[in-house]
Amino acid sequence: MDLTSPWLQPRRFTEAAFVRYREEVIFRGFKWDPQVGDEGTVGDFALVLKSSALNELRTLAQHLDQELDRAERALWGQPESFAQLGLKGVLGRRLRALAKQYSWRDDLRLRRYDFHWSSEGWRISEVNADVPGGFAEASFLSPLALAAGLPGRAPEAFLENLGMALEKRLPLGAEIALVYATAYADDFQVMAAVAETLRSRGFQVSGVGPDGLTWKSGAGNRRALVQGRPVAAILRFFPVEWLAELGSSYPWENYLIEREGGPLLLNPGWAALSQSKRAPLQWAGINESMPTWNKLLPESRPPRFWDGDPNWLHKPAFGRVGERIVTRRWSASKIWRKAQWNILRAPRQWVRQKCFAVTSVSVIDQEYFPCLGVFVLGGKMAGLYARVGRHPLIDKKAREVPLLLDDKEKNFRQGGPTLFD
Amino acid sequence: MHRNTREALAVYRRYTPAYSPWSPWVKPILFQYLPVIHRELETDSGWGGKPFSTESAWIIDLPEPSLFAAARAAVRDGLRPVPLFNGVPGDLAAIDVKPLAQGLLHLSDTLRGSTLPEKAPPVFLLDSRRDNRGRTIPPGHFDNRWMIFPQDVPSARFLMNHGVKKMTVMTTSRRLCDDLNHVLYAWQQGGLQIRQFPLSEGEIKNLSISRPLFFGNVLRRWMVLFKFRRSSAGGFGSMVPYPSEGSHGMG
Repeated sequence: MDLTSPWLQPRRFTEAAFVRYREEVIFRGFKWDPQVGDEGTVGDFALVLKSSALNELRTLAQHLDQELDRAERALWGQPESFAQLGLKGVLGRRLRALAKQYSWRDDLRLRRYDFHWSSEGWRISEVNADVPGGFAEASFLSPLALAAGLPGRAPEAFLENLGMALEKRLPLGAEIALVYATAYADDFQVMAAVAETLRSRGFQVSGVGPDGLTWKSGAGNRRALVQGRPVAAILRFFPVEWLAELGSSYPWENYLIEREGGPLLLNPGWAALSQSKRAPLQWAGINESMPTWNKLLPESRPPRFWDGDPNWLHKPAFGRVGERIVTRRWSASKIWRKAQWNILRAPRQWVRQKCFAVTSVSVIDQEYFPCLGVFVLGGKMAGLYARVGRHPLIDKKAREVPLLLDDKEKNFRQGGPTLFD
Repeated sequence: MHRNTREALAVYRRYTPAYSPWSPWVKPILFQYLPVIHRELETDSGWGGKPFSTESAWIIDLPEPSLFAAARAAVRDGLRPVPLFNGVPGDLAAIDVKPLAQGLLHLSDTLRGSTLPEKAPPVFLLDSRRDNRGRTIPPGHFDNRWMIFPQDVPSARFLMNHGVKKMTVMTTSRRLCDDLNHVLYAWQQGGLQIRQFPLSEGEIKNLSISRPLFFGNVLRRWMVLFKFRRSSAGGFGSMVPYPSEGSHGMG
């Protein structure tokens, strides 16, 4: 792996240009949560990635995805191992029952791999294989940055690739249901961006809570209906581990697996096998070669109660947006201690992962730690976006920044970034 | 409701001048869905209450139309409005957000005619109907109830660094919504003096907020969601029909 930095010099907005850009990100980029606590989440500079680095990321992400498909297929054949993935209770039982009844399918899958540039080259911290977010950021930030005057090129827009992928699989004018938690505006904004894109391609789009679809079964198939209209595809933005909370009166298991005559599921709930951060612990027991994963993902081990080694962190098997990740290096003592008792009580809900040294990027006098979320859809890279944090652990206070490409491939210069009006 | 980007931005800018420290917290979502036709406010129901003191920052947690009547008065008395409406629009919605969008438009007219100083304290605006308390959601309706969280507002430190030492909450009665309790408790812990002005009682009282259940729990977002689930008639909601012509986004 080439260990030359993938970054070119960041490009910073002037104050006036940033005000305009931020407004555009809100009103055209579907970024309706631009402030979290005292922190703005819209970054005032763009990261610039070498084209060669983009190509490398594409190759790596696609290899990761192929290997993960193979691992998932193997794990699906070992339903007795699901409990070790942290799949407990009703969800675990339903998945085990389905695994005994149905073979693994090569369905359309959407995953997001979180890449970090380190002293050892590219590493990944995790994959989001169930309900990856960042659709609008991977579609609008870069073009809006160019429109605000920053030079460069925008990478491919994720939502355009999503639209094209669905066009290939669904008839014109098909009904697509976007399933999400309707109480949350930050989920609504994602669905609004998706809906606008899909409707521009001629699809009928409905937004609905997870128990808002009606299911009809017969002749070995399961059909989904929204207000009496058959649904051709469901794009689920509701985490799989929350589905069981809908209760036994709603057939939520229909979200877990595609069936004959039923809607396309993106993603089917059996993505939980890959979503679990404990999945790498099970790969030793399957006969699949995963060289890219072995190279890019830090070592994963079972959790260890009260392990104060600052070179390791604990993360929940099913966590989101950096929530509940703890490490002696970064976490407040009180939070770290509280997590230890959770680890003791439910070890199969946790995994321990070795830390790696993320390389920072300097913007004026601040150091930022970038994370690139790379989307792979149907086995092909479909877009990417950048988040930066003041520390290596990316959480909800991270800022989204546009990611630009530059054909000129100038070497990264130390010193301040260039200001553009 | 349809997205109306051009007018939305113009109105949003009246709420978010660059010099105001409170601008970042103005929730943008409902600005996306401002009414296309701006109806003149037929009657200003007027504010019969006491003037708003600028010695305190304020939260107005009232139902429409009292909410915006109070908000207009607050602006006239020198406070900077910070709408915190996080409800999403939809047909057959549990919470009709159209009055809020209309109210934002009318309040923006009041803003346009005002000369609020740079250091004007904030008045945060909340719709007290947001959790639909006391009402069931009919089957087939869209569940757009919402809550606020401490991350939706400035921290106590930020407020105090910008001259705010007191926060006064205006409510219909003495009852405070649970989500607001979490926010107020966080502020109280940060050193702000919390007061309440229940309109039913007509006077401001000092408050001491007790620690709410699950305060600070990172799983609270999940718990809030399923509290909504269990307390509604039809669950999370229903489909939102999207007209095939003329609109952008959802709704």
